[in-house]
Amino acid sequence: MKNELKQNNKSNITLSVDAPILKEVQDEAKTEGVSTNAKINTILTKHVLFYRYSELQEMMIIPPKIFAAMFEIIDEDKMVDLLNHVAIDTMPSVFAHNNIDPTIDNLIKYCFEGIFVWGGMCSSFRHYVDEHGYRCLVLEHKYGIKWSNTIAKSLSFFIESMTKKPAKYKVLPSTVVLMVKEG
Amino acid sequence: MRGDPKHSSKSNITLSVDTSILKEIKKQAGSDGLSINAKINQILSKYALFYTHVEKQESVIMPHKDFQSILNDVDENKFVENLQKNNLDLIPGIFLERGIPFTFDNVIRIVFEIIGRFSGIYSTFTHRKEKDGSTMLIFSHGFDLKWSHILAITFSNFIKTHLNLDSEYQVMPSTVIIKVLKN
Repeated sequence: MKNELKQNNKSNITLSVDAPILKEVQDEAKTEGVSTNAKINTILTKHVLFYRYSELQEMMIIPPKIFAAMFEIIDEDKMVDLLNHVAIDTMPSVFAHNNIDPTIDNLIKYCFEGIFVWGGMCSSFRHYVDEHGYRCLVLEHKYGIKWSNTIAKSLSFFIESMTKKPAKYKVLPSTVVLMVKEG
Repeated sequence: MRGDPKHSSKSNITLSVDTSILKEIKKQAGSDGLSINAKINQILSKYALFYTHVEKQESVIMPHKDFQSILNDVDENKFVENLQKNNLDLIPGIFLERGIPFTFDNVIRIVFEIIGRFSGIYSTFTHRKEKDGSTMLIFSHGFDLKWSHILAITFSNFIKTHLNLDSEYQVMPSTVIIKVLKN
């Protein structure tokens, strides 16, 4: 299952939901090993933080095989430029609308664990602090070394422009590690 | 019918929802002129019918402008071939999963009115029956003539392959008209 966002304050609400839709959500929650409540929270969070923006901006949803075929013929620098526009325009707008501070923790919580995975930039994400005190952000994907180079350049630029902290990176064919100094 | 977006049977459920997310959804419901119950039903229906498949497929969600920029460099025939193989071939599976008969009317209602529009491949869709028994399908989008050609060829092929119906199409820079002939 894709990453869950965790938030603290809760409010109770009783709803009358279309029975077949609720049944589908319940079945999916069961398959994923989470409660119906947790599953609905995730769906609502994704709506607020991501899908509503993608609908408002009329974003395109592209199946992975089509994206891979398109990406093959696109110049890497052009793709980096396109992604950088998202970094300097779309993401700061999402943070401002939702009153979220652009700290590295919030970037991890809302972008790397949320929007970037939901948006298909990577298929999984994890992070840890290494022995040199760097916060290491590890993204895995299936689009090859060109995509690793593209997202490494673009995401390091994104981190620097949002947090004002320098970010280094390492690339492998299906993995990117971004490193940001803690503190 | 199972899978129908308009349901009559309802189930009551009490949820504990993140306060900030609920507040945001209430705000959106207010501006859409809906009750909070109707808004959450809408979000859950959209998720069950569309976004859950987007997530399972690990699709890439891309800004409109970026897609246009990439589209300029892509070979039209190759793109049509990819769309058919990797995108539209999934549609009959969605119908089967939800127990919806694969009829032309249901394709209009589910594929063209919901899935296609949510995925951003066009922004508006209308359809009407003509006196001669044919059906006009009209799609408008914000891209260019090349995209009109891609949509026209892909949809006509889809209708022929999966529904065995002949069609004729007309393309304009931002609109595609497909006339599906009476069987």
